[in-house]
Amino acid sequence: MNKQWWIPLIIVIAFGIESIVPNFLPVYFFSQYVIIVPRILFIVLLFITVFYDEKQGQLYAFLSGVVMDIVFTEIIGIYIFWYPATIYLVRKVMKYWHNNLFVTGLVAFIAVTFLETGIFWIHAILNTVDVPFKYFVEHRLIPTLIFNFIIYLVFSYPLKKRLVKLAKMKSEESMFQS
Amino acid sequence: MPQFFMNKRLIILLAGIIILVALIGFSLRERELTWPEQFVKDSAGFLQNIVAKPAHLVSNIVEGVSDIKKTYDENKVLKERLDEYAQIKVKADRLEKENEELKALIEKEKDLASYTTHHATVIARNPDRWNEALTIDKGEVHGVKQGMAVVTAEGMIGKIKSAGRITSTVQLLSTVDRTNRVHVTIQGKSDIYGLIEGFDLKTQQLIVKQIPFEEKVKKDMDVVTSGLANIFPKGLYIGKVVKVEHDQNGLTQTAYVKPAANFYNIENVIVVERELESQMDGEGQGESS
Repeated sequence: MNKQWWIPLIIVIAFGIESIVPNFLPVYFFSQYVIIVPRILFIVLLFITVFYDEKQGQLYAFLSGVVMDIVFTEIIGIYIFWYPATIYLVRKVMKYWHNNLFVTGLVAFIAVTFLETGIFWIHAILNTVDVPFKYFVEHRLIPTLIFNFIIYLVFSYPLKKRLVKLAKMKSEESMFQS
Repeated sequence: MPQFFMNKRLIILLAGIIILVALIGFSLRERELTWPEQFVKDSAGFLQNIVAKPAHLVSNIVEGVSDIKKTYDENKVLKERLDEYAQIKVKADRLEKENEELKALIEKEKDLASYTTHHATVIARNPDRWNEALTIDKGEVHGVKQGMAVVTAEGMIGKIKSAGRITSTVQLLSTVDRTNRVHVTIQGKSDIYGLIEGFDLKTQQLIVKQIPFEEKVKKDMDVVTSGLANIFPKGLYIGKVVKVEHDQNGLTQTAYVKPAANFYNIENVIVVERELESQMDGEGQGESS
């Protein structure tokens, strides 16, 4: 398969999985009141930004934001802003740090917290949410972080390997062309 | 000052924020989808369909195995209920026939309670569950329209928020949204009307407001749709009253209703289309009361 198709393909698969997982998540396992948000697509975007190409990561973050807003929230202006904004901050931070899996994990942890809080904040302003901040942290943020940490542990290594390989292929290609 | 305007980044940022706010304002209104949105939705729905089918298959197999384990116990209970069933069946047949005859007598074919159904499968769910939305695999092509009621076997779960060509979005009753209102009947000795105006996340109960203060609402009363305000048919089951409170102003009461349907792990839903057209509402209301 042609290698430039790999990145969109990974994103599309992540989007597909993310949209069906919440319907099967065993919420009953813990409690009915706990809400777990899978952020598979966001973690993939973050990996593309860190290990593949910053600018492409930013672009894909914007496009996925548009799709998320249209398909799920139906309020255009939530993910379209928070996905690129978070990825932009990640880019700024990663300039000063090494991009190994441990540091990226830490950055992903902070980025997901930032994203969740940002989305909660904008919903609170728009009055489409009526829970206090404390309830949000206890019943949504902490379970979400734990769940996404597990996802990170499982998928980070193979994903990184694939992306680094693709980045290498890309840089070799551009060397030949110049 | 000139330098301020020369700063290209700042200008772009400001323009971006203005566009963003305008977009939010535009999309918060109750509206029909624009065509680019429909296009994106349907393409995404096509993809989600591909992913959802194997997922449902796996979940069915898992469910099947756990069902087999329970079969023996269930069979025992069902055998006991079988005699009861025959009696109820005879009674229901008789009542239905009687109802038909009476309707023929007053020359009325359709009423608010009659409806047709469309079966659909859930292919996606909003991952951040701030607004609880499901995507189903039926759209305008299959006869699904905006505003129709959506039920599962246990009870009503929501309404169609927007319909695309081949997929549509269901807004659950538990969504906090000022457009998410359902007119309901609480079945006491006489019908008591109220309005679902929200969902209490902490207790997982629906909040029914605007009940007149003189009506006596008690615990365990059944709550169904009234069929008067929306384009839902009459008599879709919603849940049971758990708690009643007087409002601060003393003019109305608020009831807390435990929904009968489970809002989690929904796989198959039924979209309900009322047979009576909405423009005939005036006539229908007069007769049904």
